Amino acid sequence: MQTEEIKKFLELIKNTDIEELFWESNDSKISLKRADVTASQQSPQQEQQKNGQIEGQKKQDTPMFNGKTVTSIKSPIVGIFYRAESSDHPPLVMEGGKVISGQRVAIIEAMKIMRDVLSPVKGKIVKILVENGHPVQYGQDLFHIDTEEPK
Amino acid sequence: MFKKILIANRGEIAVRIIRACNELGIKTVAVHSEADTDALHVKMADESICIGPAPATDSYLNVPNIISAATITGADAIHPGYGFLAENTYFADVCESCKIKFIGPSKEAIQKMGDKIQARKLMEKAGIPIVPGTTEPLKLDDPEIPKIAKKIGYPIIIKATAGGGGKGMRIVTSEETLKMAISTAQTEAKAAFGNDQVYIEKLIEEPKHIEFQIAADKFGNTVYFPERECTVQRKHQKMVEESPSPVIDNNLRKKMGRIAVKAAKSVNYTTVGTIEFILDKKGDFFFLEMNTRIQVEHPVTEMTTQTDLVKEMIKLANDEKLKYDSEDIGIFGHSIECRINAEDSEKDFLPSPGKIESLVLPGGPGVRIDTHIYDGYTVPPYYDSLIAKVIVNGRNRQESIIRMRRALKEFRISGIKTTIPIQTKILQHDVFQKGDYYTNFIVKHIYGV
Repeated sequence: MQTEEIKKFLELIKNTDIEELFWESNDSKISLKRADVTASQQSPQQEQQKNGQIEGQKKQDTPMFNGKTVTSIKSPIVGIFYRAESSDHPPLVMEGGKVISGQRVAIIEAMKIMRDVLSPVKGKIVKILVENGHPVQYGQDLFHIDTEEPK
Repeated sequence: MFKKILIANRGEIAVRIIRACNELGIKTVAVHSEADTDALHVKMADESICIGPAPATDSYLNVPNIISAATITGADAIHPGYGFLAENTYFADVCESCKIKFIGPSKEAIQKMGDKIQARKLMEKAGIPIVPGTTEPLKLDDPEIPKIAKKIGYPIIIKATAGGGGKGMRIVTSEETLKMAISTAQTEAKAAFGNDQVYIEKLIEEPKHIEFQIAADKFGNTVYFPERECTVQRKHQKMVEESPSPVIDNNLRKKMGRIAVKAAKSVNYTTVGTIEFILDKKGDFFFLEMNTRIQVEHPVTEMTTQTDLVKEMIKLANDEKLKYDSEDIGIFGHSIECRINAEDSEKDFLPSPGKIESLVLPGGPGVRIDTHIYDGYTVPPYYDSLIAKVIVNGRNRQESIIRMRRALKEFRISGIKTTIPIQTKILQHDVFQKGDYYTNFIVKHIYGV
């Protein structure tokens, strides 16, 4: 397998939701796993309670992606972060996908009330920072959006 | 016992509650605004959740975010501290609906004592002496008002029913200014508390402010602790408190303590709270108000009686039984507390937030510091200016005065201004030394404020 091909696989993982990739051919095989996945049998709340910390609590001064400054969508409330309306629905947005200003990108549930999270900008989602069903605190970064127009 | 308590507060009281939880083996959740990310209570708690931007209305008063923080962390109880949501019946009600234990009395007790007019009426009915005055809200155009005011006898004070902590009051010395004073008081009350109801009380001249800590379980047992004297005030804000009071003997203590218990029982009060009285020069005392929360000055009682009121409050909220009577509570010497605020006492107490460049806290025998400040901490401008409480205990009042003078001298802080200079003056003053001081002490002897 050539370095170029491995690079292509890495790009694929980086720019999408893919967590694990296994590729096999006649002469080679490769297995790649995303480094920041904490696979767990426990529910997100249980895990978070055990760790005693909400993910994404460490502060970033200016969010960056590939050397570019990106816009953060921050949580407006405290609650549980959901990527879709329900488990029967597909996620509202995907990494790499485009969004327009005012578009619904997530739902946060607090005290049985669902609150829409809307994108304040137009651009491309370069990173989704919170896993589905995980708790979030006020001001926590949820999405990184690249607002720069492609040249 | 509760497994995890969320502390819906900040500053020194949040630190205090976390300490009590640590000793009881209870996990803690701190909530904080964006301005309090580096706060001590956040560092000390097992978990922390950011609940909003700096302004209190969006964070420490943000009920949905606080309840949500409790839900997502699995907290089974919330301790509201003092101020903020501590006496908010809506918050207590929401906690109940969400099956989270509110560590404090019932929402009914909070509501009854929170409405000052209703509380006065209740006390009057229970045969408890109240400050002479009205027990109904005033109507500005009521022709009877001048007559009522005259009967009570000038000078009088107009107070807001939803007020408390010394806020929303106006003194009236003669009938000429009565109507204007009522109108202004109503407008101010509406703006500050959302409720324009006001009532009249006789202004007791040269009073002493004596309060009784009480503790009550849900089985009907209520006890009183030896009194705290909180007479040294500036613009109705307490600056120095002591326990026991230099003017209260055992007989008066028993008499007032029993009345305090009666007052608490009349609203089926549980956990801890404080009944405030006014003591006049003749030795007559009157119910002023009840504070249905843990108070700022609780450490004075803790030092004098060698008890832990915050642990007790949590245990009582856990439906435990009180294991002692009022008579069992001993008095161990004498204690004094100074509330240190980040204010410039030479510039009319201008708030002095900012970075603490260096800090050395007092220590040694009989000295306790309850604080959230640390070397390098930046005091934010958005909240209450209380930054530390210096509490001392001595074998007698004279020793505790000497001890407090020493402690204030040892307290070294640079980068911000504090009220230490004025408290130093108070503790040096021979009127304070004699114990023969009234609520006008600071105005009369220290400052012309």
